[in-house]
Amino acid sequence: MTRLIGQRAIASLLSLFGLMVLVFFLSRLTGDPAVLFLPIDATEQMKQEFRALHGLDLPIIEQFWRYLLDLLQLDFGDSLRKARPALQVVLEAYAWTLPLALITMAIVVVAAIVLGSLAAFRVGGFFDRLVSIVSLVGASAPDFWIAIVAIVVFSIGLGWVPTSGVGTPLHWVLPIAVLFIRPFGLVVQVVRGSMLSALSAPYVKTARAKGVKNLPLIFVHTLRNGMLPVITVIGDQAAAMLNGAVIVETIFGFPGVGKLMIDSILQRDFNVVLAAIMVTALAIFLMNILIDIGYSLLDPRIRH
Amino acid sequence: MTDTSLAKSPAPAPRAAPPLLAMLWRDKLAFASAVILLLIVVAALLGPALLGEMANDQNLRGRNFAPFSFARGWQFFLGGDSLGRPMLARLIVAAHSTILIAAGTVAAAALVGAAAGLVAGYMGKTTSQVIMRLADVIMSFPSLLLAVVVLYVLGPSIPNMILVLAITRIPIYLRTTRAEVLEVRERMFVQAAVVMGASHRRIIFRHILPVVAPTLLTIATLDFAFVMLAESSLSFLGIGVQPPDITWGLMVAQGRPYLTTAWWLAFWPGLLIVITALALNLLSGWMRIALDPNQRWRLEARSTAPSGAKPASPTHG
Amino acid sequence: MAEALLTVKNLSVDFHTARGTVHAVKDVSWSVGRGETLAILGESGSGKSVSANAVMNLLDTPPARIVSGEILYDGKDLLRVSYEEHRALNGKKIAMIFQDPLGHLNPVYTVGWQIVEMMTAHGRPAAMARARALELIARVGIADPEAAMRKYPHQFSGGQRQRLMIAMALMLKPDILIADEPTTALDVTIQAEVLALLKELQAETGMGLVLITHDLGVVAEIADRVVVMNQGEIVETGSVRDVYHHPQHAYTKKLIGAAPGKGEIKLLEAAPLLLETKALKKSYGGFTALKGASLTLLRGQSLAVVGESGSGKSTLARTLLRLEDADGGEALWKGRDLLRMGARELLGVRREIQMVFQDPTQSLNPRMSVYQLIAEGWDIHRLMPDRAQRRARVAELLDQVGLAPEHAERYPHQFSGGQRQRIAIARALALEPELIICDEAVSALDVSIQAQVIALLDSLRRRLGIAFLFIAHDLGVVRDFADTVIVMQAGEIVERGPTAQIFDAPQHPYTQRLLAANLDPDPDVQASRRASIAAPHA
Repeated sequence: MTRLIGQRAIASLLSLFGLMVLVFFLSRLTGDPAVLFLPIDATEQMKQEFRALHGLDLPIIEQFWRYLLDLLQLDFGDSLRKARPALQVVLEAYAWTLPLALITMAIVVVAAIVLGSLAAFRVGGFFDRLVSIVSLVGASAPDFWIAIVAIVVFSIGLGWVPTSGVGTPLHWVLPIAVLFIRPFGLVVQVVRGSMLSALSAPYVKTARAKGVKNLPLIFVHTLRNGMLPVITVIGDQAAAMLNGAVIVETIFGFPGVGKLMIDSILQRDFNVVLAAIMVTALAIFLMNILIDIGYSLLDPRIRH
Repeated sequence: MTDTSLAKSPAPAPRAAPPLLAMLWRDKLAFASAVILLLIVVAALLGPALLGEMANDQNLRGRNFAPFSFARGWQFFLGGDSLGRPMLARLIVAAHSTILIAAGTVAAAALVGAAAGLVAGYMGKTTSQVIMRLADVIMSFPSLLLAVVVLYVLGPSIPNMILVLAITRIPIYLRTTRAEVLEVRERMFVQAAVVMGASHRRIIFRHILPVVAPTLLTIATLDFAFVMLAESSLSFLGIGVQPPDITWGLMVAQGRPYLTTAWWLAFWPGLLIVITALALNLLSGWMRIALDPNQRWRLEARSTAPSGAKPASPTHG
Repeated sequence: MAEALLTVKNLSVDFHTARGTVHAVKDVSWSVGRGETLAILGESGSGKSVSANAVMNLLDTPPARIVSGEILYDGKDLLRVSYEEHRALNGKKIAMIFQDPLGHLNPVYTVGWQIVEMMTAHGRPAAMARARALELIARVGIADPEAAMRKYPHQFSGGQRQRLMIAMALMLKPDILIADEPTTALDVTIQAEVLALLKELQAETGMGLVLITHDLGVVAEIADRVVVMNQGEIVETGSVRDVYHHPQHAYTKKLIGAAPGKGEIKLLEAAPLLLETKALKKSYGGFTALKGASLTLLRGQSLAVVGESGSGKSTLARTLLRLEDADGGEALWKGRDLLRMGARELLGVRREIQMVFQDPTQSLNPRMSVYQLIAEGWDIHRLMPDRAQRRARVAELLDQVGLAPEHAERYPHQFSGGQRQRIAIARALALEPELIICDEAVSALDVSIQAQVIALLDSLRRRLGIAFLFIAHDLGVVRDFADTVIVMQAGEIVERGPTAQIFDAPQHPYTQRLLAANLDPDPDVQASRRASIAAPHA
């Protein structure tokens, strides 16, 4: 197990480094922050001073070298936009994204497992139909459109929830609801399919021949086997969510990491982009380890 | 016990097309999906030529004209936009870029991904490892970030959109193809071909590809919907297609400021995206069964048996 | 016959499938008494497992539908009791074990948990269940029961898993044990041990045993009475000895007649040398599959390679066919080393050596017609460019293997298993090979079809002078087909010689063990063998 984590850490570190190099150089090709941040009538001298202040006047290799040295001391540089340490800005955004992702994923997992299992147990029954409709919608409707329609109906029309912002618990309802649909549709389909094949596995026949009752049959004998492929999909979905739900965060004015990332890219706030990518990579790495551990807890064949 | 069981199954014709169409006709939902998709493709092909001028015809008196009225002609039946252009004509014209981007992306990604997957699955371990690691890197790269960076460097044109989206979709085809090839190449009939002396080319194109192709086609259909959603998201965020080009995603974004006053500006293009994606999803689901010889009986039998699905539950009491 | 514990009366079950309703069993009746062993004998598709599954309430309804009949146990009709009532009987009064113990044990729970669950599911305290489990695991011959309880199914061998399944089934001292092909997936020597264990346990507990099998040898070894099924119907019932010696029904006669191992033994005829291997070696990682195999094969010879799983017999075939690269040794094909040939030279040899695989369902490309399958070799080797000539030759080949020329346009899935293997043989013949390697070519087929295919292969050998390298685990089939036998164990050739010598005077202890474990379809032969094995111990 430790060896596996070690290998994964090295692989992740390598691809993270590659990613960082790519983003560092590519993002500097996308435009000059001095033009964006200074007033339109700024003189060339002001621009020069701005560049010198942020080290943007050095050759690009030199800039990269400095960045790496700072990075080794866990200094991610300052945000141009907010004039604060980039890491701090990113972590603040994470304080919003993390609970949003965790709450949504928790609801997704519980709902998908319960509804997916029930759908598999009675193919063609009520739950089966419900599940297939919701997943079809999730796979077909763009989330920005669902969000817009939801705002028109529930905020503007009915006035039940606020249109955007983060002040009260009510502010969380629409973002979570919109964010929920797609991953739920995906995960529940996998749960259903994998439970369906697990329910027809020979060991279920054995359990029935032993006289095991229906509930333990589903939730003890079958579910643990059926969960193995599900975990992978849950991992993928959670990773996507940790990357920030850009659309949902933008539409609902939710100050999460997705919105931060897109704003920083559009305004050439390189340090924040890089810091966000690295923090996200770390979060995804940790989550993958959790997934691996979960896998080996569920399936003894992996442990041995 | 005797070897005369042939009489049981009258030979189904080896030609694939006619029974497939008949099977499609039998599944009404899938059939409707195919018809809708056909209509959309026709609109995408002919739309700009026929209605291009009308769609850009600004008319300040038709600003935010409310839908469901023929007072200003059929083209205003779904309302007018903020510059008084007819929504219906604009929607039809926008189909062109929307479909073009999705089709171009899927074709490019499927071609490159499948070819790389075939190589990765068929060749030795080293080649396979290199290809798979590359795919991992692409997968780990936040696709939005990639899109933004590339579109800024190269400029947000339609070919560049296709390039960006295709790169992010390649791993899907690559992984699927490789996994299938790894499985198929171990099958006995491939080994039988090797023993007979078949060349690599023959094994790949005659024995492996025909088995893998239906899966790829099914995934490509599903992916078409996904790419369309991705493109519309990018356009919605303002980093995708730029005016005067229009796609449905861009139309939703342009209609967003008028949500409270003219809901139809954002609603119709969104609805079209949903309908197209829905049709693609349904058709893909049907294809997954229809193109699989082991599952096909479910569709062939639908008219005779009550249901092909086999419940796993103990119902007998 | 003992008083009936369990009686199946006039049971009929239909299956609703895409191709219409199939009558899986029609009007089937049988019963089993205390201490008695009833065998239900049948080939694939005979419906032999259906009635037992109905007893256990394991039929999925739909697609299955119980049309009529009753299943009587303890004064109740099991087809009419409630689901809950039936569940309470399963495992407690009637237990069942299956063919494939790896699949039928839950992979994610420990063996101990699963055995204990048999009792806890029926409301017994866990501590009591644990004690009983330890006792039974020891009883079925697993060393260190404490440790075994903590292990998972994949950590045991096939034979051990079946022993554990038996232990699980006996936890609640059931009245009846149903065993569905319990030894089919096991090697012969393991099969003999498991059958012996079942018999001992039956003697100890007095349970009734219902054994579902396709193997006449298993019936002869263990059963008291036998029910013979064909196409959903019982064609014959009676004591094992009566049915074997005086079969009444034509099907039973055919089945007994088809049992391998009764024909005349063939003698090797002098012929030029075709293939010679010297010290062929192959290992995978740390595991040595082939530890230096040397053999010779003459033109027109039929050489059998016999061994259990893991003996290296398939590896031998795969290295000769260059599907795997050998680690060492040589294989001289007409004097040239096969293992070191370049691609061009190898292509020529690939025409001369053909292969017939175990499972024709998998070895024929499902998307190619019979014509395409047979003609593919000609495409590869650029032979017979003329289409009319090809058509004629395909028709001729189909005729040769007992199929009709009009079958050429059909696809593999339209044929039965035996017919598919004939197609595979026709494909091999198309290139007029000098050697055909058969890897368990008949072991996936039903006995009656097995006999036909063996007869076909033998006639081809005699008429066309083709040599055969015949890899098999079934000694009866080998005895009928081969003139020379090589016995392999753990990657080594332990014995070789003319067929008669191997079967009548085996020298190596492993060969002796293999022959002793091989079950004869004649119950009297089996009984006398048991007596002779038991005698030295007494």
